[in-house]
Amino acid sequence: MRPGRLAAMGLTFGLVGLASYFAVVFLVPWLPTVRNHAGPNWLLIVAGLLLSLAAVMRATAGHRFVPAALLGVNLTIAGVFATILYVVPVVPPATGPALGTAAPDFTLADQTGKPVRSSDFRGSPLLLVFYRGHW
Amino acid sequence: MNDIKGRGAAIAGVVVDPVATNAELAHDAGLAFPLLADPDLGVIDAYGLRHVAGGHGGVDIALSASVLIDADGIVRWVFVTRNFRVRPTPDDVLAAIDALPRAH
Repeated sequence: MRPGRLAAMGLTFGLVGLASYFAVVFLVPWLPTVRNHAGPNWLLIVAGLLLSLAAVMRATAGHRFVPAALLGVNLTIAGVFATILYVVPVVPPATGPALGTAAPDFTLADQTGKPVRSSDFRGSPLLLVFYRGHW
Repeated sequence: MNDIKGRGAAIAGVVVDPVATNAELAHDAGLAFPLLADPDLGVIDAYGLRHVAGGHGGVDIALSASVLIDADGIVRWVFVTRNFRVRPTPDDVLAAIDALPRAH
């Protein structure tokens, strides 16, 4: 395959790998494992990098600038993706409440202003979800 | 969510934002469960889930976490990670509910 086409395919893979992750997170509610691990997205991005590298290696002297630049773009995409996945969302360690202990009582206002007590839930299991908020 | 409620479990959210913000969000998102406001982080602290300076402008917020409490009020399952992009899958939650001891 000609280096130009390899380079274009490589960049396309990288862009699709990155963009599809956000499509899954924001548009599609039924792929929670992709959201957690981004496996398919990394496969696309790495494939894109390999194609870009192949393009650079196939290019003849004097024609390496564009494939090299596109490889650089793909490396940037991989770096941005890694930062978004593994650097930005890192939070301090915490263990939450101890298993087997009594869950602390609470009385808090719900979205209508009505007070809700932890005792209201006794008799059924309760999934208490803590959100970061600041939407 | 229907699977969770179908197992007889309730859901409630806790967030540092005030009631007015939660009302807007609950309306826009069509939330089917109560979203509880904890602006002074009293409950967030009681559950050991404060994220110091984690919010915009360095404000303290909660860590993203899920706590499963059984019918007797005992903590049975906690999901909290070092990376807020990682969340429990629906299967994780349902498995935890199914593993609960029966209520007394």
